[in-house]
Amino acid sequence: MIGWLGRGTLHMVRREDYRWLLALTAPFQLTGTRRRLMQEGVGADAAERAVGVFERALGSDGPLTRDELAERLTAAGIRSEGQAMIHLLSLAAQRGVVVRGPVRSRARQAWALARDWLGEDLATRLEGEARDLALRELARRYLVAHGPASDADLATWAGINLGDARAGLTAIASELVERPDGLVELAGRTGRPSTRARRLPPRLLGVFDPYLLGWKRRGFMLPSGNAHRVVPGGGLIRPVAIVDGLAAATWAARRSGTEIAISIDPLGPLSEEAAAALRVEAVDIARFEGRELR
Amino acid sequence: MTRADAPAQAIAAIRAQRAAGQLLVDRRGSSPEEIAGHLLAVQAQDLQGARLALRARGARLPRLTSTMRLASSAPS
Repeated sequence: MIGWLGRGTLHMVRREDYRWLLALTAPFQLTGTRRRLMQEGVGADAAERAVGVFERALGSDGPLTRDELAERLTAAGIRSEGQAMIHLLSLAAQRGVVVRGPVRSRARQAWALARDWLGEDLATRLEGEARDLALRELARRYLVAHGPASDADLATWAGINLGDARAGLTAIASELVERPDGLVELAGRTGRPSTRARRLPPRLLGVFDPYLLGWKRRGFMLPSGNAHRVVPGGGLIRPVAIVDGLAAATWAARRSGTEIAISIDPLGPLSEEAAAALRVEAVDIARFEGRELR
Repeated sequence: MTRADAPAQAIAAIRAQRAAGQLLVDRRGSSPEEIAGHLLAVQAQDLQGARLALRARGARLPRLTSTMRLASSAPS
């Protein structure tokens, strides 16, 4: 499912992970959400009233679209114009009241009451042992997909503070290997000869790919001379082609009806072998999307 | 090995490990759910990008329908 988690942006997670990730990260997100609502002209009292409006509307009528919920806010005299509505939905999600529900016709996303849609109320704060266990789970699961990494990498990726990141890593210290460079990794997952010896296969990665978001710094895969072409500013991270694990090109897709055209813009010299492998990737993207590659 | 090679090799080793951890080397992911669970969370303010993240990590994942199932929080 998809919800506002971690750094306060939308994330796709498994249903069973949503509950504890929300409870662990929502308190960090709330401050930013309330600040953005103030910037949109929605004060704290109005924001809390809006969450109540959502709860009553979804409780009585079932899943509703953003436009339908906006009508209810307007009727209650609460501002929903501009970016206010999306931040109010974000607030209600962080408060455990709403989740993204069914998708209606013409791809219109509907919102549902969390307790109706997930079958139980959601906690939005963890304390004591439950919080310790969640931090431990977060640290372990993060390192499975991101090791070797630092405490600052974990804090940045998860949108938590450094103290909590360190607490999570300390809780699993017996499972960790500390490296000379200061990074840590899970024991048993240290650099395997198979991944060290061979070249890494070329891949086409989409916009905001996790490989570009998983650590505090991207220098290991994105040399600084090319960073501005991949991360041009304004919060955008372009689709990249990686070759041997390094960003080697940006790419773009143009979709039209049942066809897709993929253009690749190298950041530097690209070997024929790499270019051929990226063409295979483009064919697979077309297959995945059920389109014909032009 | 020159002194300049050493840091480059160390960074290459980190890159290899991280790419493998991200399932970008051997594409071990067999389903969108398994990949999302492995990564823990996939940024998804751009749904197309999130789907492509799953594709890049899976072995010939079936097309969009299975990723749509993960994206919607439909009760199982």
